[in-house]
Amino acid sequence: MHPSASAQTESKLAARHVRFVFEPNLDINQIRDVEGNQVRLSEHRAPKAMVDRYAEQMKAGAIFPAIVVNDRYEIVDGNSRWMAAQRNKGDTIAAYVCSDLSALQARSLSVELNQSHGLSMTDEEIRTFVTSAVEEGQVLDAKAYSRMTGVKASTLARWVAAKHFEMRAAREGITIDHFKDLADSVRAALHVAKLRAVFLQVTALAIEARVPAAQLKAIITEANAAPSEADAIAVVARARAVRSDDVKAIAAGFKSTRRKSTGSALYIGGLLRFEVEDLLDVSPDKRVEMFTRMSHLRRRLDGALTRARVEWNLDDIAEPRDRDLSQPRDLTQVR
Amino acid sequence: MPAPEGYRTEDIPRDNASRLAIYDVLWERTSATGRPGVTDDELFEHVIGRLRVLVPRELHLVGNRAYVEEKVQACVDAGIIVAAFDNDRRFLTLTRRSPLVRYPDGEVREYSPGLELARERLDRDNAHLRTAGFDVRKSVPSIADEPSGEQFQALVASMGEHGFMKQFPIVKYEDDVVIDGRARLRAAAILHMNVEYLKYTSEKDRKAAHRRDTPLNRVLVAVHSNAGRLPREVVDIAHERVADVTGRTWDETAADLKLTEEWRRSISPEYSPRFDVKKLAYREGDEAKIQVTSDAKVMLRSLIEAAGLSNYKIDNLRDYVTFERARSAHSAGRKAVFARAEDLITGIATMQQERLTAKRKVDPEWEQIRQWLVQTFNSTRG
Repeated sequence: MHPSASAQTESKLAARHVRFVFEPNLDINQIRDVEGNQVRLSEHRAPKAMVDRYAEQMKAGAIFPAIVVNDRYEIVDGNSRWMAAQRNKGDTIAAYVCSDLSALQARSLSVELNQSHGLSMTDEEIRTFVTSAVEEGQVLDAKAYSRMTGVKASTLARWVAAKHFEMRAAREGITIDHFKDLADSVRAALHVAKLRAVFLQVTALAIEARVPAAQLKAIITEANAAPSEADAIAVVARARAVRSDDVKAIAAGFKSTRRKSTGSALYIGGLLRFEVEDLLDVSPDKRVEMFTRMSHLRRRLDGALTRARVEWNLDDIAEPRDRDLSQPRDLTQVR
Repeated sequence: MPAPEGYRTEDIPRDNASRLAIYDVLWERTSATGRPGVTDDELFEHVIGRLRVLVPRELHLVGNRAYVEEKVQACVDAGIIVAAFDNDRRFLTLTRRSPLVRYPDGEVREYSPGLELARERLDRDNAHLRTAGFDVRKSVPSIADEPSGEQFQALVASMGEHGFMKQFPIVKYEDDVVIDGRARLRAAAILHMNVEYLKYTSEKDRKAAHRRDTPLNRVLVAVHSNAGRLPREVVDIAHERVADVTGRTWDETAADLKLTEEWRRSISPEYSPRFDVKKLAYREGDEAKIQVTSDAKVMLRSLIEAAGLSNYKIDNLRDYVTFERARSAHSAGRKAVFARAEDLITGIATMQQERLTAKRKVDPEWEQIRQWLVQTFNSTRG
């Protein structure tokens, strides 16, 4: 194998079914720099310090991996190496010459190769590329792009879903000013709404009541499963009615008040993970204190349950069985 | 179509991808709306998405609007677009002049509207088909699928009479798949007959065939080569199965295949580096024949022949030294094989050692060649 040949580059090209030829002596003067050959956004894509260092190393006999060009010898990857070779007034450079690369393939290849060496792209740069590709109508394979970029597939999928939401919102005449405060996870959740009317109403609800993504997912799942459009809209209307206080508060310029149960729910959920045996597994010197605290807890919970049944009109709700209590919904879903 | 006279074809502008994107949008908008011109805003709205993919860095540095305006002006200057005013509104219209594009064979030709987008759509189709493991043989039946059938039996009888007609060799792809010739292959197996596979006469032909081998190309091969016997509905089913995987209609794919036909047929020329060499003598008093580059690469044939070995002995080094192929002022015909002197010194030593260990013949000339290399290149590794 030629010292400039790179098994890593070759495997990446092969994985994309890109036809290539390794040319150890490509004439440097034939290589062309074209606009868009790299997706890095920084002004100096081949920083001077790096080019200087590469040039010195090359002079000292260091062998660098081959650059990548298309069949028109337009550079796809290896700007710093190419510039360092030019700095040293070299005549040739080792290169992989790829045939029949479309501009889009060249761009995504740049992204992938850039992540494996040199200055890796920032998340913002990767996101710009990925969302632009989606906007352009490309279908993104999150796993493949995750392998290329090192960004988690779930993050990529969220970016893509958020972008789809933005495009759909734009088509519906909802401007970015309206939804600029919505988190990516919320945008991704909204994109799942199937019916146009549901999408519009649930988006309005998300904006007006600042509904978290987890709750939106539940609302949209229910609406998507509704037997008719009217039923689906009714699901969203019910969700809005429940959050009417939040809608009013946010419309008046206030943040919706954070309910205290947001904090206690986490602890109750945590406690439910423990069986009776677990709760009794206490060291002898702590048992009295633990007994006292659990007694206090029981009194408060008894009080809360009694009032909840009356104040929340839950007379019809049967006492859940112990097994159900130990399997809270969120944990069941996680397992 | 080749570029018309009057064009400077040697230099495709470095912003050509953006110009083509603008040209495609103008073509598509004027075709779709029937209006002769497009406003700057309309153009911007329809082109910016593609430019974000093609030239993200340039957009980031120059600004979206400024970049598009700059490229529109470049197209106007190149005579591809003309700007006209109507009630103080500027409209952009395509002229009869097309932008240029360099085809894989190096020829600069006029750009066909939508070519780049069609190529990308076909790339996507092929990627989908590969991912799905699409096998066109499952959709296009062979007469060998029915071994007792009349057609297959007639083929067996014909091959029994005439033998395997070598003038019609079978094409086997790199993954050993045969698309056209399955029945002859099966019949030959039944008759215990040798099969003739297509042999490429040159590396260039092999590469050209390899480049054209895509899942969609296999579909075309399967359908076209059996066009005479396949009923229309079988072809339609094969096309529908492709469409199921690609997510678009076969007609759309077929239109893109048509548009890209010339492009797909165009094959990159083989690259030939040219080395500047000087000639050295092997022994004092010999004619200087050994070609050597300034960065210590040696043309192997000239060295081996000067040492008195036959040039096929170069193959002895194949596993020990990296070869580089290039032309020089003194080489004609095929590219010559060069190798770095340093690699040769170590490679020859290893080759000699391994052949001795394997009790194989070692020509004494190899040691003389190694000594010559050590002395000539003043290596410390001898």
